[in-house]
Amino acid sequence: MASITISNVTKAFGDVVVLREFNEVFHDKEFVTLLGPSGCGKTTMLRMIAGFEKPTTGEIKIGDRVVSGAGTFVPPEKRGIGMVFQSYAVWPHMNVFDNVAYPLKIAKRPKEEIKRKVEHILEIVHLSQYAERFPMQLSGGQQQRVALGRALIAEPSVLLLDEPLSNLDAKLRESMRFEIKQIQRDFGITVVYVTHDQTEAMAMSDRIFVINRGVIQQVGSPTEVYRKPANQFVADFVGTINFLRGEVKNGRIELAGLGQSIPYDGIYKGKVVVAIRPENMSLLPTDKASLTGKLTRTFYLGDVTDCRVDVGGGQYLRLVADSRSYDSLTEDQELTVYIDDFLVYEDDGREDHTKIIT
Amino acid sequence: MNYRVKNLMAKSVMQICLLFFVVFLAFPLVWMLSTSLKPNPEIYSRIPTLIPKEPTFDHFRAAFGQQDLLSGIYNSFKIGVLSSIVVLIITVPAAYALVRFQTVINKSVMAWILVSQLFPSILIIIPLFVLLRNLALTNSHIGIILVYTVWSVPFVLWMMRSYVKAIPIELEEAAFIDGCNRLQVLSKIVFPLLVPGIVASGLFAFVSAWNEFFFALVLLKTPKLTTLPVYLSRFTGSEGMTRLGPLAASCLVATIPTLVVFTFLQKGLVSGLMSGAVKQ
Repeated sequence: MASITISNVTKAFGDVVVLREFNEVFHDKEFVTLLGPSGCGKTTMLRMIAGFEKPTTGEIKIGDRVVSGAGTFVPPEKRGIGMVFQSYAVWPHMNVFDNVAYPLKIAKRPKEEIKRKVEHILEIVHLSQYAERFPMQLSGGQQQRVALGRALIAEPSVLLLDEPLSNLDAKLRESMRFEIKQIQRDFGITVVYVTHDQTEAMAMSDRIFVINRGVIQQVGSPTEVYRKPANQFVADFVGTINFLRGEVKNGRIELAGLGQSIPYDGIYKGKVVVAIRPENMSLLPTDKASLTGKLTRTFYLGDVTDCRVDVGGGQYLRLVADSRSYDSLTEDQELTVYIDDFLVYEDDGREDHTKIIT
Repeated sequence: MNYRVKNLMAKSVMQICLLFFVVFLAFPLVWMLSTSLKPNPEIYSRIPTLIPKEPTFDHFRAAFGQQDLLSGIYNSFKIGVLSSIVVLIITVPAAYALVRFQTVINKSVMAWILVSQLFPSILIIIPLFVLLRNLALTNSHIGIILVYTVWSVPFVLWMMRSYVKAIPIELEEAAFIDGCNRLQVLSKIVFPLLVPGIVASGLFAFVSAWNEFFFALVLLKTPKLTTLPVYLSRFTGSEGMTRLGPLAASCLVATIPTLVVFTFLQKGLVSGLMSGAVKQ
């Protein structure tokens, strides 16, 4: 059993509160991702679970054991966890075998057992043929797998991953995603994964915790977080989205500055913000809502065409059309954008959590 | 002018500058070597020669014959090694603590340590002499080792500090995660990674003790106890007569340890062991 229970944890460095009232349970064998922009407090949370930081107030339990709390503090080396650092932290003065074997050597396990287990782990992380190499002779992806192997060898029930893929190139990152997920399933371990990359979070997680400014914005499965973002920050941070301000009047939302409106029968009244994902708009006629505008730029991305449409009032919509439409579209062309689906938020007048286009 | 030509010119200018620099640094050494191998008439001849016409080892024989250079070498070596060991025993833990345990006083402490480097030795020699005499440490190796230690600690501490700083904290944290306690982290992770830094700092302390003249001259009275630089100074006689040949020969002997040590270790010191540890 290795659930992680975090009760009322607040962390402040001096006057700066980086995490506020964190109250969650990460279940046994669950893959949990803490997702948020840099400086949101996600790494601090991870470091508190690892034992490198002490919570200012509150309590952390791993399984049934209190590891941080009033009067108790279990140091990192006694928590029985594995961790992979963003910088890998592979020891340069030991070869791959010794790096991976290290936790077992510290635990003074018999030689044959160490050899057998290291060979097994190296096979899992595809490094068997590199056992004798030193870290400086390895590529970034290989070093990363050394770190992963070292974190797994002591068979921890909890594995903490701090942006482990952010230093890898795109292709390798994609394949490592699946490997990490596979390893988590095979080993049946609880994983807490910290990242600012929403695609990584979507691909691997059972549950995503979206955090901003030290406060949890939303907790949910990847589909929930993507399809029903709880607020404008989540909508903007997870995926790409267009925001348009407007006002609800007579069953329609009149969009500010556009002189256009779309039908609406939801619960919000008064000033609202409409959020539309680029893939929820199309150039093919449907019977749903539509907006007219002028096509200003098209970008051919191969699988899709990325379009910017000027809808008036100095506002632009970003939408993705299918790949072939690139040939028929011309810039400065007037066109109608059909909206399949959109989200509505109450407009609190703040600008800082919305951005219209990136 | 295209880019390649420009680049080539910039490179050539740089090479020429470097060449001048090398000549500037190496000429005294080469001249010393040349002088030590020339017979006396050639040394004092009106037209200087760089390559001796009739090379001879007479000056080396004279240098070792006229003075007890071997005992000077032994004393210098002993004092240098012992003082650099003491310096390292003090600075390695101190540098680690200063880097890893950040407190408010750290910055001002480091600044004050640097300030202590500003005083020239001539300024403190009289009070130092009185102090050591009261402790009965003049004319003793322990006294001079203490002086050299105190003299080297500030700079070596700054050096060690940058070596400790170069070790990413994640390496230590990863070791904690793997079950090491603080002592194991220090002995198994931090120490091996610091070895190049320890070697470099130790050599620095050794060389500065090996070369030191002034303190040794004032504090060590008995010829049997005194160090190599003091022996060297005796080749310039008080009567205004300098025996250039033996002086050059013994200076060359005194330079050899430094030269050898740096020739062999320079590469390892520069390349650094840290590459491949973390990805920035």
